[in-house]
Amino acid sequence: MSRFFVILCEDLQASCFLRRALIAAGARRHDIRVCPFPDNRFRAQSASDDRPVDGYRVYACGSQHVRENYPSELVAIRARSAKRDAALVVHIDVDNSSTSERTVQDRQRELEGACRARGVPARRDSDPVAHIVPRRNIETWIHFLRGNAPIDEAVEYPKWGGREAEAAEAAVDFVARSREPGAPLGAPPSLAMGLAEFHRVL
Amino acid sequence: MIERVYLDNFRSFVNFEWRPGQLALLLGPNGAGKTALLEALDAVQAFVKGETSVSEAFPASSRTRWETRVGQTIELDVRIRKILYRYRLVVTHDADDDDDVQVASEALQSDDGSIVEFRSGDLTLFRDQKPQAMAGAKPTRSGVGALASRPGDALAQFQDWISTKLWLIRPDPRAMSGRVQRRRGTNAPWLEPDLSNFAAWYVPTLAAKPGSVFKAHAAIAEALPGFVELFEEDAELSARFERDGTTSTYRFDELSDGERALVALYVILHAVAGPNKTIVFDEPDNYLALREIQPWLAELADRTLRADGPQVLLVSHHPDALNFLAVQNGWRVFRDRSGPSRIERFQAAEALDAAETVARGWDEPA
Repeated sequence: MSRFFVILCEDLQASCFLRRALIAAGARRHDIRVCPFPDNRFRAQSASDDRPVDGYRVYACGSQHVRENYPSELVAIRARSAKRDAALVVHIDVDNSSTSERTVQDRQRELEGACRARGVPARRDSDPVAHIVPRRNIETWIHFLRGNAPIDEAVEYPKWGGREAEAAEAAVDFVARSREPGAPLGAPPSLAMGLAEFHRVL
Repeated sequence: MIERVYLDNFRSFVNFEWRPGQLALLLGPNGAGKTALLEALDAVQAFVKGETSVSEAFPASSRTRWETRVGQTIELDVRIRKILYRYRLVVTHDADDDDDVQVASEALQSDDGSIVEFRSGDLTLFRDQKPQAMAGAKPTRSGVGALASRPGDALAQFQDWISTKLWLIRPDPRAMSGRVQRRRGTNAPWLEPDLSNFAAWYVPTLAAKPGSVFKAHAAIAEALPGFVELFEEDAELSARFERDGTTSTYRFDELSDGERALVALYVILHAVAGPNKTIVFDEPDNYLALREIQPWLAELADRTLRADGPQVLLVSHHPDALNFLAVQNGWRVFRDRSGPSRIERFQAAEALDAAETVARGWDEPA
């Protein structure tokens, strides 16, 4: 595979996971570019769904970062893929919401809304773009792929702080499952959607 | 893995303590003390290995300029196979004679108690927690390094860690010769931090770890199209390239500075970066092309962010390194108005990436 991949994601865990998945799918390491991701450890107290990590207060700026950068990355990948083989892999966690239960579709609509606000046509079927939207977050998928079942998408599972690459080995299984027909038994619904999305860019 | 570094009255460090994690990117302005911090590790390593005397490792010029105290303290807490070792060195200088530098005290302890202690000219080795006075101690040399250990005992563990598990890498491709100098035996020579003896180190490393080096070759081939292998011929290291069925061979020193640095960094990554190692890279990206930096860093992170991964401490100014590593593993080294060096977790400015935060100087503490 000589396709060039751009990863737009929320955090280090997602970047490790998606990079590992692309390599497992045959991508060359030098043909993967991870966009900078934000510092999600702001001490801001304003966000309603913040939570303490490493002594910092966290709010959902990762998803905001992805929404803000998605339209321009979409434009860039369209222009590039018209000339050379290139694809965009976008990761945005569903996370929780203080007002209602957020869904994968809500995040998809947010990405479309971000494009609309910038005057960029939303993703078309022909675009080499995958929307990887885990619910509740990428750790949920990793826990499932590492053999921990059943998985509840509403639960926040522990993170692998400092062991993100080790956790990302689960991406090898993710790629294997993306090649199989149908959703894996017991897979969280967002993972089943994610497998189909990932298949779009292979 | 280094769990704690404490420096007092060394270069710009006064009562300075740092507890790095498994992966740490040191960033900050020039002169903040990033490289000096790594040089402290270098000095301790050379001293304990017996390569330098105390006056060579900690010359009078290494004292903090504005300090009048004559004592320097260096402490290193290292976890080796789940056991914490505490190394403490106190060096004393003669205020009137720059050449008069002596070890005031040196001690190595573990969770189980004292292992070695040098104090007031007396060297004591604790075996099974029983003190044994050792003759021949010199206040200019490391007793911890000089004492004979028993295979597998606590002293041997620490000596082995500091001698073979702590790697300092400060690539200077212009110093990297392709000449393979023969040594007795089959062991690789210690790799010099500037990689000047890379060729001499590479050949026995290839023989000892062919699988790791071949993986490095595969990784290099992704960055340098057509690259096949590095090999020795007539005591010269050479690189073989294949393009369109044609083989070309270049002497190692015919490669560009960036190519030599890239090749060495991938070989180090694959042949050295393993469990129980601590690898310290000082600006490894200096000679790399922008396109080459993130893939190497990603491989580095991939090997490091695991329970059995090596510890990697990295100094870099490069925007790609900052954006890739600083958010979760960045440490900002800084000085207030040329005062002592301080360190804190890096925090990017709201709505800015790490590199832009640093470029604007907005990473300063509130």
